[in-house]
Amino acid sequence: MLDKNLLSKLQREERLTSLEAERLDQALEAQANPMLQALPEDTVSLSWRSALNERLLEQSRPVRSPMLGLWRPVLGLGLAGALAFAFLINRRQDEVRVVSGPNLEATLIQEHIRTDQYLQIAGAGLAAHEARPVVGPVRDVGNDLQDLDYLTL
Amino acid sequence: MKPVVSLICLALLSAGAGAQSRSQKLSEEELKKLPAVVQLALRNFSKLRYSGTRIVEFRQGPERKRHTEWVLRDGSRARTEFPEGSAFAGQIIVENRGERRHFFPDRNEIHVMPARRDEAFFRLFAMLGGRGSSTPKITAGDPDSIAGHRAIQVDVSDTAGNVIQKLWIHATNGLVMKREIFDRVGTRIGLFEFTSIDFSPRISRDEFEIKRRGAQIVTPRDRLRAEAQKAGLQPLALSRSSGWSLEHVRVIRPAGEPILVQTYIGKHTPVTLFQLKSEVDQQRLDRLGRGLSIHHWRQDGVTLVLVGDLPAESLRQLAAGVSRSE
Repeated sequence: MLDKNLLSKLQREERLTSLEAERLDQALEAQANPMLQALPEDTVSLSWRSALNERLLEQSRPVRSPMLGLWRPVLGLGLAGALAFAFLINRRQDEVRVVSGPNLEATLIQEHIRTDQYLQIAGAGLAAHEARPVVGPVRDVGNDLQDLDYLTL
Repeated sequence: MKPVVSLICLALLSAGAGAQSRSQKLSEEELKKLPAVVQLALRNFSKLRYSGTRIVEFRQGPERKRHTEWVLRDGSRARTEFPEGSAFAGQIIVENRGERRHFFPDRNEIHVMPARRDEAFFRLFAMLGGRGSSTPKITAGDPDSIAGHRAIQVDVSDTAGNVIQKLWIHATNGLVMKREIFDRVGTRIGLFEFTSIDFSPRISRDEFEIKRRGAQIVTPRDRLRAEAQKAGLQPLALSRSSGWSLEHVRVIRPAGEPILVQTYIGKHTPVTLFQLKSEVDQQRLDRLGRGLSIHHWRQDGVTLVLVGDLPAESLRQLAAGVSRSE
């Protein structure tokens, strides 16, 4: 916890001593640690769901102070949201996998038609299917005196 | 026995190719039925001489990609460059004596392939020369101004009246100054348009050459072997004696699996040879590719799919000649 002197200094936005800065860091860290530990894991599992149920059960118990207990339902809702989000993401990936099979033939036909159209548009120029941007420095082989030649014209 | 079989196959293929090119040629009588400006474009195509700047746009997936080209043309010879600031600046493409050379400065490579300057025009020529119920309709519209020159707009529509191409043809010399291509629902797939043009340019013959000592010459067959190896696939290709030249090789991964794509150019129309490990459904291919010939088979542990706008029998004969590229 922060003492009154430090709090008033923070309110007045005064410069803190190194000792005060360290105390402030410790206080913030002490508040942040439980929050970090409470963050959900990436993987969705039944044991995790069971843990969530236990936490939700805890929320139903009477609390001493309404302010003190406010973070718990918020955290619970956040975790439930994270669980729902992870579930939705997994479902969406499954859907893509199913669709990719029938699209294979369409991809081949489309690739042929587009290449034909690109060739018609490009003529002797650059067609989309062969467009490859210049990347990295131009490799100079031997002496390229082009610029010097221009200067001596 | 083998050389005899090869000779017979070659003769059959030549006959097929001849029949195809015959169907694509317009008689003088048919030519006269076309709008005057289209006749002019067809007659002057190989005589035009100019330098100019054009913008080119392609639709790729949801994106429209646009770049600028500096174009120089003298009859059958062409040179394309890209201005400073372009993603392709430093690359040079020349077409001369039936060969196309594409210089990549960052790799110090010159990719050599068959010339295709006639492709765009003869595709149109072939389309106009079609017979039967699927022949497109051509309508010449009002004059317009493209790059400060008077051009006549020509719409090419399918039998249902959907515009599939729009061309703006120079009113006095027949140069196609702008071209737009649409898909079956009317979305523009690509366009080019000249923004400036000079019909009396000073052109030096060496502008149609790329000479760069130390640069590596790369052919499409070299690329085929390299790309096939990288993708864990086979360097299988159409026979060199088929009359179809390998123009471009690339690997696409639409669903993660590598698909080797080879584009070949023959009598004014491309064919595509796909190679992949998965099986494909021929019925689904036929349903999706209506109007195209599609043939698929298994060879050397991979699936090959050949697609093209040519008779099904010609395509099957081409497929029979697929072998490991030497």
